[in-house]
Amino acid sequence: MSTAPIPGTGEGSAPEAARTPSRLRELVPALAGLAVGAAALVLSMQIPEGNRLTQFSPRWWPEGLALLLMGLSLLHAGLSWARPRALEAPEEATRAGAVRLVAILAAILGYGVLWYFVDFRVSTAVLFAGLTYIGGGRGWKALLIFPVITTAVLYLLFGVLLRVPL
Amino acid sequence: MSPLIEGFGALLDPTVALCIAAGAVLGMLVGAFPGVTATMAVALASGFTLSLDPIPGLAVLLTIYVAANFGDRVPAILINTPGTPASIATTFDGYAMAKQGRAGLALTASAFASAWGTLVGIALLMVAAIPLSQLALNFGPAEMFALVVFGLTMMIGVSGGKITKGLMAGVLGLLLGAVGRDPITGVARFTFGVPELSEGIPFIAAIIGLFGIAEVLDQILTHRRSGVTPITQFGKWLPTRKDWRTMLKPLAVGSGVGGVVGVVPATGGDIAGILGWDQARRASKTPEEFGKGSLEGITAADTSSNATLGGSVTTTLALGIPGDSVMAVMIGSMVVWGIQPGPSLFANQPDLVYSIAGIMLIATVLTLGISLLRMRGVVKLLDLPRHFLWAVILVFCMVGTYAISNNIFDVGIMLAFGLVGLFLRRFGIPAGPVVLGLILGKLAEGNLRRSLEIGGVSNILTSPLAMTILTISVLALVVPPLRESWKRRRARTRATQPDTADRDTLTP
Repeated sequence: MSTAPIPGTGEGSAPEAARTPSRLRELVPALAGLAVGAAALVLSMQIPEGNRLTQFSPRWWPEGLALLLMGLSLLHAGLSWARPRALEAPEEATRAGAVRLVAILAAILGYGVLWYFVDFRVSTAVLFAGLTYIGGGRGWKALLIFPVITTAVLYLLFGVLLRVPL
Repeated sequence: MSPLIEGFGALLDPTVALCIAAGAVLGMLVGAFPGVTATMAVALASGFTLSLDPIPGLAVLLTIYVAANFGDRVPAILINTPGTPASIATTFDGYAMAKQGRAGLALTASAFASAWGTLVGIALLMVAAIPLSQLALNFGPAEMFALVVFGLTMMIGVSGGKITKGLMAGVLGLLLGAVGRDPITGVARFTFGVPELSEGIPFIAAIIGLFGIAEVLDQILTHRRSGVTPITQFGKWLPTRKDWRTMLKPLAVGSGVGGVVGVVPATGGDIAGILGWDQARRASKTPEEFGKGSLEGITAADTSSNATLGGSVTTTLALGIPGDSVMAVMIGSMVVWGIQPGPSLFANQPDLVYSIAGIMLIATVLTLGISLLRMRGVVKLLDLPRHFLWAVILVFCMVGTYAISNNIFDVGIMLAFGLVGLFLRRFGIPAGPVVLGLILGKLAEGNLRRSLEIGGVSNILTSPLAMTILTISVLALVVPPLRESWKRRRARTRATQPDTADRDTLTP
């Protein structure tokens, strides 16, 4: 019987830097969980009781879940602080990637506004060109032909075949 | 009329054939593009299939599900990158075979193994779905609540070393599921006066955000130019008689492992592929060749991975608990079509089992045919720049989500969930339990409250079935970390033993 490690499962295969345990990094999800749990608890307390038809109030379930989320967040913080584990870290973000991400989110917001004022076909072709440019596409094929063809396909599928009011 | 004839008869509509063909092409393509998972593709397709009737809609979604599990083998073999997580184990031997100049054989063997695995899964669906749903019809609120907990804990238990994060994600999903009207009293909760939220968070939009948008945003954030060049030397394509004989045992092992894993809620082809590969290695006469280009290895991995499909569909439809993440997404679409997965579905519509099995059967045969076409053209697709893919996915996600209810509010929800999904991804929190919690939240709350109203906690404690399911759920959470800890301890002990032995030999 073979006892060799399974390839790609991470046993000794990930780069060392990616596997260094970080206490602070693990605190972020715990703090986020605490914040969401606390907010949910406050909001749950404001749910109207209504006409109590049963012994359980409509607040009962969300309040319980909010407390559970806070408890789990504290548990996670405690465990990862006491025994930091070398889990596989996600692929590292790049500075260019962060800029790309912000630009793409801005383009999507801009599209929301543009769609309100300009015809769907025009605004969508502009968005396609913008997204392609931000992603690194250059030249007339990427910035002109591709947006026009994909917008046409999109409009044909949703606007014509599925009759979505675009 | 017999449900079998009625079920298969529903597929005679030409629209269904067209939908299967479209789904097959789309599924093969999304499978072949690394970074576009089957879950994401089905989520994306949900946007524009909701306007179809249930059977044609299911034909598109199920065929994408099947075909993506064929297409994803191509990049796994040619560039050592799984097209979807289900083909992780394909890379173990597939890429090694390709590097040895046997890419053609690897692709063909993989296609046959995948087809065989899917057929085994379909047989399981046809045999087990109705009896399982009949058994589940006897479930009361206590058992249904236990079943929801079971589904959630299985998804968390298999999220490898992330138990607390998985639990946090599951609870967050349940909290999000509490948005909207209280399931018993109808009181509005967390709606902030927004009428669109009174029915709860639109889960198709949330799912597209969590799986589609988050994946693309993560790729945008981390993308670097890849230095991997696809394999271009394919060698021979068809297996010889000797190759077929070699493939028999792993086909059997993979079918068994995949069939069992598929029925377990929330576990998918990725886990089954690795388990099937490992079991075939243990059963092989040449285990040393596994991971170095073994035909047995690739056959077992792909058979096992695809044998989960039928089991996943069975669990989803018969119990209402998603068999894997794709099924979690598909439940969302089914609910919109008025198909409520759960024990009563097959009691009311037994023909649906056969329609679904028929769709999957046709999809498998069609996709096998496409897979056996020489894949040289796909190599060019693998070189397609990422910015085209990002733009297409982002815009299709937005327009697809808008098309669900012609409401821009849903698009906003989708984008917000995309950012939440990105956060979860960056901090290693699994998104699966969030979706499961969101979908099953109302079911869990309603059944728990009903159960407690009827007879208090003892109603759950005195139900042998509910207690068995809950015990398995607890074990699913507790056993993996305990086993890990035991393994680590044993490894430490082994590491210190040679030192002791050295000292012993030095001692006079």
